Amino acid sequence: MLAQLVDYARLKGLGTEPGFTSKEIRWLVGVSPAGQWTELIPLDQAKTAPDLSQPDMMSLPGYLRAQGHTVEQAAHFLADTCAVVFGLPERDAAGNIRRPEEHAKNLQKHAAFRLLIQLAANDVPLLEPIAQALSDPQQVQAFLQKLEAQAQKRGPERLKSTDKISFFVNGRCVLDCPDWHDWWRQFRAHAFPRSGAQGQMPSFASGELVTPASTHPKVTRLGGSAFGHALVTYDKEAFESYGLSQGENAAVDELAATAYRAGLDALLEKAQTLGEMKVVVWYDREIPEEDDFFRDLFAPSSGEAEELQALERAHRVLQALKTGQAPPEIRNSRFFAAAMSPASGRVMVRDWQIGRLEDFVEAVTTWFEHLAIVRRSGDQSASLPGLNRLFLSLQRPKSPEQKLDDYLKPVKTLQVPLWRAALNPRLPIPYAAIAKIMESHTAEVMTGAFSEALQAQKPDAATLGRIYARMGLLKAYHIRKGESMSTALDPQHPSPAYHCGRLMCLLAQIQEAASESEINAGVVQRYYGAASSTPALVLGRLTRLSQHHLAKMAKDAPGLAYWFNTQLAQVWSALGSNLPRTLSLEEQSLFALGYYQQLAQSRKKETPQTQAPTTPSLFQE
Amino acid sequence: MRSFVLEVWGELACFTRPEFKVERFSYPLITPSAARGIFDAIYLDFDPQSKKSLMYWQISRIEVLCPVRYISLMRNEVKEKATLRNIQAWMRDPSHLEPLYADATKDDTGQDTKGRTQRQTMALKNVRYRLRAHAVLYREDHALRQKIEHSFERRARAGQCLYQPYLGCREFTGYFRLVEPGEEARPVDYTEKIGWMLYDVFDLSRPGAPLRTDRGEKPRISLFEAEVVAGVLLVPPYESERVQKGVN
Repeated sequence: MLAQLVDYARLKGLGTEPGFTSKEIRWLVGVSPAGQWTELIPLDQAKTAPDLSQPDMMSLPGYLRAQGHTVEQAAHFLADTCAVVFGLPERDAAGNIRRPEEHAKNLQKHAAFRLLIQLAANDVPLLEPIAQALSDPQQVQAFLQKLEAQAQKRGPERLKSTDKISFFVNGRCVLDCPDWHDWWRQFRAHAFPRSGAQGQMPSFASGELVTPASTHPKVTRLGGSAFGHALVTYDKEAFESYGLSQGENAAVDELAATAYRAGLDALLEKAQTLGEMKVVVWYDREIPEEDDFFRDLFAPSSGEAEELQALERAHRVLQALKTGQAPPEIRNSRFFAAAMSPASGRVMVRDWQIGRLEDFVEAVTTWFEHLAIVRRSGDQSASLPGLNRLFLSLQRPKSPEQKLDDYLKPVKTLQVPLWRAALNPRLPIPYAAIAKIMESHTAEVMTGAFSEALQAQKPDAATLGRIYARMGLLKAYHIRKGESMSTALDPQHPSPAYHCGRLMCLLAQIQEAASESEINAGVVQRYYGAASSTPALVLGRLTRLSQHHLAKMAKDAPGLAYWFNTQLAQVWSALGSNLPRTLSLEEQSLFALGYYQQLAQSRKKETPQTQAPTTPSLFQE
Repeated sequence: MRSFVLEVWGELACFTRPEFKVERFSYPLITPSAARGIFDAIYLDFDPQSKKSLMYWQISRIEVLCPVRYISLMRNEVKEKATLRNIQAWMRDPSHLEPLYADATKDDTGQDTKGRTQRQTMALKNVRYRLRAHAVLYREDHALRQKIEHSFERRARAGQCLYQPYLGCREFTGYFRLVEPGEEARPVDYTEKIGWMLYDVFDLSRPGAPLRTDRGEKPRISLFEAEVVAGVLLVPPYESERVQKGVN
């Protein structure tokens, strides 16, 4: 993964020099050539800034003290928080300073920050006004009041003590001026001399003999902690091997370490979320945006100005790749996919896959094909679910008061298998996912929420989306087990369980059509659970009862009764003479699919050519 | 020179990528060093005087017989190691024993560097490989070669081993059988450019002896660019330029 990330960073021209990183700067403070603070400018932009790793930070005070300076704490150079640069305290609602020890430490860091600027200003004229302004306590105090006032504001204008701030000199942000780069390089080289086996170990990023960096810069865009997370780390003795120390355990030189961090941070910036993981996909060369299906995997129909459906688009690209219409460089390109999550300051790699672009597009196409399910009106396929939505559909919706962590806990182990299944058509859908779906689906059907969502005039999009996602995943599960499943109703389906589901749906419709008044608890609410697990026990009895409904119906609507009888006959003919006594969980999922697809079929508006004179459309969308 | 083929399998395996070792993540297939370890477990010849090995097993071909499948596990691991110095001190004076509390939490030890920690392992599930290897002798000797090859064949055929082979981690037991000539292999349809993969941790070019890390001795890591084609990974010889070796 390291080699691929380094290549990506170079391909994208990302800043890969050690000692430099990209920081989100929230504010700039204007400095006049005479060394006066002028104004506070809101910025909210990522800028290239000096970087200090954790070991650098730890050794900085020692180095500065050795140079004869009085320093208690380390600070960053040129860009740091308002708490450090101006000593802005964090206050509570009553105006009292929160965490006074932290504030005292920040004041010590302020002194170190001022010292670094002062040292740099001796060689870099650009920084002289800043050093002058910082060394004037009255000026700093006056500007601090301005910051305090800004911190009292509400909304996006509010300044927080943890916001990063830098300086605006001569009409430019100092971070944009290369004047300080050389001083900073020299300072780092003196303050933090690199040790280790000089050029003696083969690099895991390039294979070349390198001097391994003992610690690597942290990834900052994974979320979870503002301090960042280390991808390659040997933080405890027990994880080191054969007397190797820290980074020697997997040699990567400092340059490559900075490059892979820059690449990973850039990818994490646009990462997708799956449960609690961040997932990224990238390629070994530039791919036209319309051929990148990574976003489609998570939001299949939300493409910008996208006219084609994700599935059609994927088919077109796949065709171009297979027939050689796509440019050769695209045909030969490879994809890299990683899933990761934060873990106590470390990056936990949950999955790592590589392969050909063609395989990736094919996987996406197959994934969508397997998930495609007829929509409630029975006329066409429902919109495809994004991967995260699909994952969240496995269980009941999250209640507002529930924490996301707690909500995800029961399905956490399914994140990686689902992600892998999406990227590899040969992998099965995990059985546990089906178990989870069946648990929540059966409950929803029996409370009536399922039928309500499907019959509502203006359905709740989230509820409907969840039903489509669940049905789609059940279908994908059976397809990947080698069974045949169609998007819409399949009267020839080989499984009796499937037809039992169809029968249950018809029986419920018969009851509904025959009843003049609203039914309190219909056969679905009363018997769905039992019918889906022990059909022989329930469905035979319900069929007998339905004859009374049909007899009643025959008086008022003989055509409808005839149509229902025809449908029942079709289902019974597909079922054969014996109803299954019990159904396993997998068969219960086929029951659910049969039930849903029969329901959708009943709601289908018949075209004039196919419409039989006596066939009613039971529910109009 | 004869090549031997072993079929090895196991329920779980973890051929940890050194760069993702703290939260373990396995390579998709067995590394040459792990494969060598399995041959070593069956037979390795040593010089009785110097106690140094007279040979090493050169893996030449790895065939993947079961599809690559990952499984995610959470395991309790320890944070500290039993050091040679501590053990020597304990041998000199057993009353001054500082034990390694493998199951201690931070509350018990009072610090972050000792005790146990829970870490993730991305291991492999249901692995099966065919490994082809031949003996490389540091000093070619016909009689010794005959002895090594005969002993290995006899022991492997009988299922004998010096210690139970393992699949990457000691806790993932590996099982083996000798593949007789004429038995066909059916590698899975798996083609992948894995990239830089660990070849070995030790210097195979000279007779090995236990590494004295307490005397500052360091291992010699070697890497190679691994590419699996139709389920087969061809492993270059250790001397090959394709194997990037560290400097001792």
